[in-house]
Amino acid sequence: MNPLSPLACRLAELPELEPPPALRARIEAAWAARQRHRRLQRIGGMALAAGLALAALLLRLPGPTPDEGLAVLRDESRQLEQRLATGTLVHSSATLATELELQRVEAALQQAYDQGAGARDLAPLWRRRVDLLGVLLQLQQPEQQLSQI
Amino acid sequence: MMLSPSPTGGVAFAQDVDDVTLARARRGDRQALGQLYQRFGRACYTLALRLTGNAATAEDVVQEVFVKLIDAIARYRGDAPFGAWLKRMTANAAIDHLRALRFRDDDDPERVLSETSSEAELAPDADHDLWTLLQRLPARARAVVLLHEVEGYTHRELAELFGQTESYSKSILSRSLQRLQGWLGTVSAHESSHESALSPRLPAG
Repeated sequence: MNPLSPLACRLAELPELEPPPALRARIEAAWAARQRHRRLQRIGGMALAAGLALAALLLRLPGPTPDEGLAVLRDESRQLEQRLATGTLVHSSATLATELELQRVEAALQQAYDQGAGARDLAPLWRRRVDLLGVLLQLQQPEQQLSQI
Repeated sequence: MMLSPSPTGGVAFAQDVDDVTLARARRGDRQALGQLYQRFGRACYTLALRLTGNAATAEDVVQEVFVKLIDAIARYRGDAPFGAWLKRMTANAAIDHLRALRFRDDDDPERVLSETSSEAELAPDADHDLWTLLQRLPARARAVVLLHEVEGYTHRELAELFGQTESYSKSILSRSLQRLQGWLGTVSAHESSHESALSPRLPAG
């Protein structure tokens, strides 16, 4: 380390200076204001977070996620198929039209699965299949339906 | 502004702070922050005043540093002594003020130093202590002198601080020290001639 030059020694010996007493009061007041601001920010932040959490909860409440919805539709579809399997369909043009539509929907479903479609695309097809199975169930012979009750 | 001799012969940033006070200050405990001001307020004010050369600006710098401290202390990891860390914060804040001044006052130290001579405008009867002479330097030149000669900043650090090259910092320091030496020489010469004029003449022989 280089020895200090005489000028550097004189500079190092410059006296320290006392800040005015009022400066501390100014700083204390600024700290208090800053802490008030931080507290308000914290409260505001908490209120915002709570609001967002509530909004997210409310948005989630009306229905299940697409995957959950799909599982429900598949179960519903399976139950309807079981009920249809035990009854006898009335042969009519309405039954034929519904069966043709059901075949078209099942082909579309198969194609969707082959293309790796997601739950959002599959769900409407499953919903349509459930509706058509429900129509077919309505078209069963009345006595057969009664025997199921 | 009160003057008092420094017990350490320099700006007293070299004081230890216990971990408990630091932890409390990190939580925003105003009593702990007050203790830090009590311990370092004078050192911060002294450095800020020396660098800016203006009491009101120095007060603003110290207030800014201690208000920022509430948030900034959370980032202090203890790698360097707390005082050294606080000194850097203070120096940076003071330099920021000088930077703002540059755009207002055209305070280019190179130009000012080249335009004034070392003997210029020193009234023989004025009180020319070192502080008064330092204040005659352009603000950024004074900051370079103090940060390098007293606070131990390197030219690389000064270059970063001022957004200039190292050679700029070296040039400003060299010319400022030369100027100060010149002024001090002029003052000494004035004082010697004043003393010899006052001393009784002994008869020869």
